[in-house]
Amino acid sequence: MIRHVVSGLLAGSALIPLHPLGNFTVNRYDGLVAAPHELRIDHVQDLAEIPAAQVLEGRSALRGGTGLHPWAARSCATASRVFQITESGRPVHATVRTVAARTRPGQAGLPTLRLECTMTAPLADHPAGVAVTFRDPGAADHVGWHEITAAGDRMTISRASVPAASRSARLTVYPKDMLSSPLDQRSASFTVTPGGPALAAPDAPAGPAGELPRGVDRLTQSFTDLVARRHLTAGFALVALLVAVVLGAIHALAPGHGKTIMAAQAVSRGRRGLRDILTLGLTVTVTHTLGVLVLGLLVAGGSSVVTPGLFPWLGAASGALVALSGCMLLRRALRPRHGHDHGHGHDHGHGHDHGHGHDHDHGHGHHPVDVPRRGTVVLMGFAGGLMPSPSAIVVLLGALALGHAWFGVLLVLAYGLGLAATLTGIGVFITGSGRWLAARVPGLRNRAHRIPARLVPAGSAAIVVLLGVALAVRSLATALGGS
Amino acid sequence: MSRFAAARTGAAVLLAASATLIAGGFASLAPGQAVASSHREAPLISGQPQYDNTDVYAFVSPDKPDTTTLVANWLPFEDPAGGPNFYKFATDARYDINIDNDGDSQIDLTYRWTFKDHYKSKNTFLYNTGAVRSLDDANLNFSQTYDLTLIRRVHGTAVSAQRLASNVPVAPSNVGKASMPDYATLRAQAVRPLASGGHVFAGQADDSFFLDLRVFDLLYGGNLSEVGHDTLHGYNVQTVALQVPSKQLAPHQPIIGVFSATQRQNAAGGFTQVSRLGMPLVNEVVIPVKDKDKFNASIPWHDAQFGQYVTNPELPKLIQGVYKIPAPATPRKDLVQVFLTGVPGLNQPPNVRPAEMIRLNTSIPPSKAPNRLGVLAGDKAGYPNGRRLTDDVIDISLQVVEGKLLGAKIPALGDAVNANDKAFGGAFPYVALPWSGSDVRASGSGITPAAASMARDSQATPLTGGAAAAPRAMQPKPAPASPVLPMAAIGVGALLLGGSGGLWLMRRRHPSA
Amino acid sequence: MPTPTTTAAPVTRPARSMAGRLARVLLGAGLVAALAGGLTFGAAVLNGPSGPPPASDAVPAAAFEQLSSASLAAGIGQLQQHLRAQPRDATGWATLGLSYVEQARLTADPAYYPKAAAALAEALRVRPADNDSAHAGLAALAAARHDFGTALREADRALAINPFGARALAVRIDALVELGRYPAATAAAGHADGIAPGIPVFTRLAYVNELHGRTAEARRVLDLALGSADDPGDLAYVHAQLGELAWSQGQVRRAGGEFAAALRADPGYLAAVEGRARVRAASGDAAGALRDLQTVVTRLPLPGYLTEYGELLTSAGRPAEAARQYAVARVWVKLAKASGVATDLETALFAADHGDKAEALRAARAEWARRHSVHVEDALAWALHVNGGDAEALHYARLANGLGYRNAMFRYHQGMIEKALGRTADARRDLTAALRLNPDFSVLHAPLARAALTSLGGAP
Repeated sequence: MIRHVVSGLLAGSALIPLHPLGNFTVNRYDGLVAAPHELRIDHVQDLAEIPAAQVLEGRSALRGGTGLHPWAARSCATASRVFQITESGRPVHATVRTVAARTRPGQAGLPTLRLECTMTAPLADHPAGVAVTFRDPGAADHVGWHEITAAGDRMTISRASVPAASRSARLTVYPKDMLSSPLDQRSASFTVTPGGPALAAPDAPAGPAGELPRGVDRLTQSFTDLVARRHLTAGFALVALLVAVVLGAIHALAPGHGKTIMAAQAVSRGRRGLRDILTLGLTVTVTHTLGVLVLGLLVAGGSSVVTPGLFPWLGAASGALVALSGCMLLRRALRPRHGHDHGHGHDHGHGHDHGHGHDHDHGHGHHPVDVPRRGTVVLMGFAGGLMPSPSAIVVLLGALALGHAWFGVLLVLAYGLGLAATLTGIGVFITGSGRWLAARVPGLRNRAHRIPARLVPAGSAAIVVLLGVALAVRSLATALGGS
Repeated sequence: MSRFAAARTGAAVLLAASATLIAGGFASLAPGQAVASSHREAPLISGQPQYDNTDVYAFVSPDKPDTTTLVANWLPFEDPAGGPNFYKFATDARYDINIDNDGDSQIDLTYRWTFKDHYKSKNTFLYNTGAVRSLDDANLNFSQTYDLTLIRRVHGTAVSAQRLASNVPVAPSNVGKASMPDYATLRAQAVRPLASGGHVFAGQADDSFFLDLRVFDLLYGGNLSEVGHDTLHGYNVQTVALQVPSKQLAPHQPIIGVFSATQRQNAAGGFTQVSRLGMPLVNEVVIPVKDKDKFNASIPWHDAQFGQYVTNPELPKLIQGVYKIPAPATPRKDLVQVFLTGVPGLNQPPNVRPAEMIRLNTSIPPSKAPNRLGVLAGDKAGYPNGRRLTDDVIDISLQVVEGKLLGAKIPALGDAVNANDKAFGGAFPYVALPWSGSDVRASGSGITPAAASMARDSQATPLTGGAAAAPRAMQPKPAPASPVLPMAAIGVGALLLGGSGGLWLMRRRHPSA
Repeated sequence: MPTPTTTAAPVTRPARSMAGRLARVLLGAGLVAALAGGLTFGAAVLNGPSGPPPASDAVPAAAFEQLSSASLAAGIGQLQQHLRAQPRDATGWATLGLSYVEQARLTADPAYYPKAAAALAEALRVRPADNDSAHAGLAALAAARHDFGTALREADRALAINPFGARALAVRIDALVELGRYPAATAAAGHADGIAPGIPVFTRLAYVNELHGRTAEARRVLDLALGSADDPGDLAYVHAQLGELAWSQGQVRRAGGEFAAALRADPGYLAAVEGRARVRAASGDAAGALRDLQTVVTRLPLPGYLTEYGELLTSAGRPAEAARQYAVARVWVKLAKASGVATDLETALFAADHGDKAEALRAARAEWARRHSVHVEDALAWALHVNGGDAEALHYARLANGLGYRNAMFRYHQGMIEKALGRTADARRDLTAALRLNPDFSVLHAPLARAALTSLGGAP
């Protein structure tokens, strides 16, 4: 059964979607803007990994090219030379004005190229209107998305054979509608009459759906690259897992994940809380891993649910849960107790340690009010883990994109383990240091006697509530106000 | 089993289930990446319409009542401006019109057309090199000829083959006004008398069928609110026509069954039947899509296998869903008579074995004023007794399927296309001259229904088509292919995983319980 | 010391503690809720809003069945329009899906594959039962993505519903051939020919014959296909296949004529341009061959074309440009590895000759794990050979040539393996056979074959 499950996971990882329009396509976009006395052409080419490699290989062989500028200039010049533009039947020529090219990371760490040129062609002004036709024969050279749009800037466009707005947002987003074929527009015609609204500056193109918040650090990026380039041997996998554990441990030190809650818990319960700390750590790990998996898959699936705006809401939910669990703790702490307070008494240096040996806590059988303790711990762990680390998501996505989906899950698990280890370590450290302090500083013990029995757990519970509320409020502020 | 062990099993089951769900979610989320294509990817869609028959007509010749005319069309949607190759009959096929003249559902006579290509000059592939004024004009570079063979059968097996005509020229594609200034002459030259009596013709003609294809939207929950435009307006077909004395077709009793078939040469050297057509719309409406190919390859002797689709038809249920007209009670013996045996007292041969064919009673004289609604309007010489070119088979079939012959009171269902785009001729072969390549620019035909339609001008009611007042049937938009279900699967799987992990934790804490 | 009696006895906890039970109840409730929610959600997604009439089984008139390659783009546009108005036309969705697959084949644009998958899924959603055209479309899509196991399964599913379906019959032949099940493929091709003769079946039947070495029969069947072809795409394809057949037997002039005919029918048909390049190179027109291959790799930089171009550049004395082509081909290797996709055998062969040999062997073995066709056997044999595993390589090379396929490259590979093993007589025999089949079978390897043969004492 396990083999089937594993093979199922493996099979699922075999075919993962990647560059939306193939690895050897060259997509072209010509944004025509009719302005007074000129026709502006915004020419964009998006070269996928293979054509980009063809360009970049050639460039390095020439030995002269620094940067992409020579190629970009040549390409824009060629493109504008082959344009067939007529204005009222007379051919006009386009002149290149600006040239820009840059590489962007694509699949498997390989670069793709984006070329952007602006050209202008003269346009006569005629009150009755000028008929313009535009043909881009360069579109025939490559497979890909070919799009043309026509808009007017202080001129009016009529009888246009192409739309005014780009369906692909200038080759950044490609519609997945199954009732539309990939665009193959190679020519356009329209009439231009003077007068009209000015063309609004285009909004900064929205990033691809599922963008992660900032803070995805270089460490994670380099880790993803590392995973990408190497073949997955056993030794390398082990190293990568260890690195993931370390990453998780490091990120546990970042804000969130309930370290302070952990500390508060540890202070309130002392030695006896070791089990609880372990449970807490484990629950945080499990919740965090699941959260990362779900979010990672949502992003991979291209769902528009995952936006940077999602994280503040998650933070708010997490804060609310923390506050809730803190209230439960507070309620329990403030309830009047009958008889001795076992929980508190043991913290004061009793010889034997009741934490191990028996799986239960003393006094539970006698104190029905202690009943929801396990559930509370789990709830707090759940709350702590609810905020998935963006870096963990990146690791998962990187592994997904590179085809090692199952390995990505393992990495996220290792990440979670590192997280749990750090959190547990903090808890243990605080517990241990409390004891160490109590042992080293005799005065503390005496002073501790004066503190009412109920104050420490109640106080820590109150702190937890306050923390939870603060977290929720801060996240809500970001969610509602900022993004 | 102890509760611990039971719980462990339960946890294991949960674990497995959750892992499977997650794996399934992974798998179904992946649309997959295309691979670099190999160079051995052969064509899969190869629309070769020259083997597809579109219509068969059988009627007593109105101008020669002692003869019967049989017309069969192939190769639909011929665009008049379809150069440079234009349209032709296939040369590796047998175009057959089959006759059953004793009602036993076995073929008794087969009239077979076989074609050959001819190029006057091998140096050019042009259809014509100048104006063509006659069929043997030197300017007509490409032409076809055919042989007509009559095969007599006993119990379906061929016993004799008689060549009725050899190397008869085919009327060419109507290229355009400049190339063929007087196409009517070419058509007249293509009509050949037969020594055995009668006439034969093969060549391009205007598509004699007239309908609005949107009527088939009924099949997917649409309604007839937007009909009235002849979808075949402006298109040509390849027509084969035969006029023979009725006594040759029906020596003993006057009722014949007619259907056409196409046989295509296969690589093993034999011939495979790839198309079959008798009553109109059978393959479109009666036979479900999964059996359409089977029907095309079948012979009438085995038509009992399709009987259930006639006795229990689906179209009335669809119409009931859209228009709330109650579907007549099944089994539909009236449809069996119309489609499979002929109506008693009209066109049912004695001792008939049910089989799908056009049944024509050659003893009923042609009507002086043919009504497009045929038998439904009391015109006994019309469909479903045979099929004339002017019979509106869509309207008749819709109403018959709704039970008109049972006497049901139903509205006048139809597609609001009542006549062909061109008028038919008064003499053999009766089909209209083909549209010319030069006509196209004026008429602007197309498969896509044009914006302007005859319905706007007509007096049509919602049910008879055309008016915008008709309520549109509910057509739910298809949900976009979303990753929701895999997401849900993964989410449930993740929760199960967490749950099983939690349970396992519980068990670890309390092993003795 | 008295045994302690107090501390060892475990305290029996009432009913596993209320904490555990409560938590378990909570978890259980949560799971139930999750399942219920998931199922409801799933049901909602699957069923959609309930429309009154059930989707019908019948099919409309010939309009959308008459798609051919030439009219494909226009036909797709009309289908899309029709489906916007009539979204419950299951056959329309299936036809659209299959058309997208065909369009991907014709334009080499893989953007159509996800659209095809979505359209076919919609077809099955509208009519889940008895939808043979959707299953045939899924089979074609799987075959296009080189998932031949799925292709075979879907084709069989389609044929179980409609045994006369021409498309399912054709894809079934493809799947069986690519999986290496040649007797079944031969039977399937003969069976399909009896039911649905036509260009799709004829071209596949010819290929099956060619793989078994029955080249005359293959040519006869291709000529039959040519006789009924009038669509430019079909004409170009069949002429190109006839060209490949002639080329494989060293009939350079005849091959040139066929490729020229293919380009007359469709001037942009890259397979014919590449064929013409080979013919030109063999006829001494290196400049023309280089121009043709430059056109090909600009438009469609697939690894096989890049390799061929690189080898031609090397033989023309332009090693730096050749190295550039190989560098781009290595990018393909990287992409294929990263995406975990079914590796193209051309990539494996490239890696064996010009790239990472170990990677070539890995890729070949991975493909062998998936299917056992003669092309995989040959690639695996060559990959083993360049990695030094000649004994094992010989076994696979024999398998590759054992079917009867008259392929000069396959024989050459076997000859070189035998030479490495010291089996001189066998090597002479196979290298001679390769060069006799086609003296110009490869710009890079034909000279190597001649050199090897000379060194063995044979006459090329």
